[in-house]
Amino acid sequence: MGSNENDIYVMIITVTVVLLILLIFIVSFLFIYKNRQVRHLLEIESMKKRYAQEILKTELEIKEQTLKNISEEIHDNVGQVLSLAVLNLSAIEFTDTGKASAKVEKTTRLVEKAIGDLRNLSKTLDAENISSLGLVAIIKSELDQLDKTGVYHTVFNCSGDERRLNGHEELILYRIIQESLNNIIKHAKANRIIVNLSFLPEKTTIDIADNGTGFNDRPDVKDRIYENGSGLKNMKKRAGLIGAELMISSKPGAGTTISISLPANNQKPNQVL
Amino acid sequence: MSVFTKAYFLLLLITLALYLFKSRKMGTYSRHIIALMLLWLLTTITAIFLSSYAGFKNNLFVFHILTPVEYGILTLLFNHVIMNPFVKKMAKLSILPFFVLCMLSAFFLQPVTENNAYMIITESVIIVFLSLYYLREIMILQHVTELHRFPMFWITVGLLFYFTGNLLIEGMLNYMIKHSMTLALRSYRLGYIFKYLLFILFITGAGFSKRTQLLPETNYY
Repeated sequence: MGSNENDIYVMIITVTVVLLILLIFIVSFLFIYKNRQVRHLLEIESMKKRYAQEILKTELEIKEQTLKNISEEIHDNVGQVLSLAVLNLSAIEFTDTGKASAKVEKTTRLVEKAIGDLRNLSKTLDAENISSLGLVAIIKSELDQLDKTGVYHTVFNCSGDERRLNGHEELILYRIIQESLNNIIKHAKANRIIVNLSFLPEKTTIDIADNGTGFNDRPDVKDRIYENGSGLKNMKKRAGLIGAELMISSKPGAGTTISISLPANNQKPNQVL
Repeated sequence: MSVFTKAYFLLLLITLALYLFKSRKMGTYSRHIIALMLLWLLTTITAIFLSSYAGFKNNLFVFHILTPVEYGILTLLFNHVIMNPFVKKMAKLSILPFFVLCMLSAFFLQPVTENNAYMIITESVIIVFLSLYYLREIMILQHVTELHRFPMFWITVGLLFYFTGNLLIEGMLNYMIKHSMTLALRSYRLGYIFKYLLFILFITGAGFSKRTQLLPETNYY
């Protein structure tokens, strides 16, 4: 009987210990959960801030690029035309009415061209009117600008049912496209640019291809290109911000293709917000 | 009827009444808890009736029926709340094999005249695993704003407490029965502590059911 009582004491102690362990488990669980929750909320806040900062930065970059385009356009186009008009006017000889009238006519054409160019400049896109035009119009406009230079032959293909993406997605995609076209102008030595935009039910894809010099897409070469300020790293980071995937494929002498794939709204596992 | 059994009945009825009363305000999981309470009430009444009024010397076969049904209800509860598709599926798929295992155990290992300790231990291990898994999910997903006001948290903790205790007591029960029936009965009564705790935690969960707040679910798989 004494042995039995000892056994029952052991049992009581064991049960007490188990209960204590479980109680400690509960308290610790609640405590750790609370701490994790606070950390989680802070992380979400900081992600939101980073996202907002990145959007702001993108907007500023687009503005900067637009101003650069405007200044180049004024210098290379409107400025030249107006200079020619001034030259024409200063060379008018009023003694010869016929010649003078021809020159005035020529000057009028030049001024009209300058007015037309300025009108086109006023339509130049910036961050504010991207949302009103949509991705298709933006891409078309960018390619038109390049076509006008005469250096590039551009092709734009749009397939699927066109749909509007949300403001931030369009802004970031526009900036990525702008940056890709800039890279083509700066580094690719290409004369042909093809942009394919596809609106698929599950995703939106954009391919920007050129026939330039290209590069070896071995990981080490790619890493070097990523680091040398070509903006590829930033483009990839921004694509990730809206849940899109950006891929670059290139071969020396065979051009470069940048592919962006943005899942439809309900299929974005990496989206921050 | 012993004081332990009376207290057990009282807590069981309070829990059942509370869940019946609050079932509309609580999630679907309250239905599983109600089913579990009804099962326990029915088996306890049957067991007491058989031994005290119908003259049955051995009512252990009732518990041979209770174990697989209880397991079925609990795995369905976890199948409902756990988010990992694989664990959900496994929990649901395990019900039938467990039933078969219970029958095989009753035929070849522990007949209906003996305590079905092996199956209770197996059940306890699986339910402890599912409880811990669900708690891990709660921790990772972070979709509960105030955890201490989330009924399923208290229900899971209650089940974890209860089945850990079950594991301990049932693990030793057969050994004790061989040595001394009195000691086995005493240790069996100790199991009431875990039962009471389970009811108290279930009641705590139901008490907080009105103010539960869930954040939009985040799928991390």
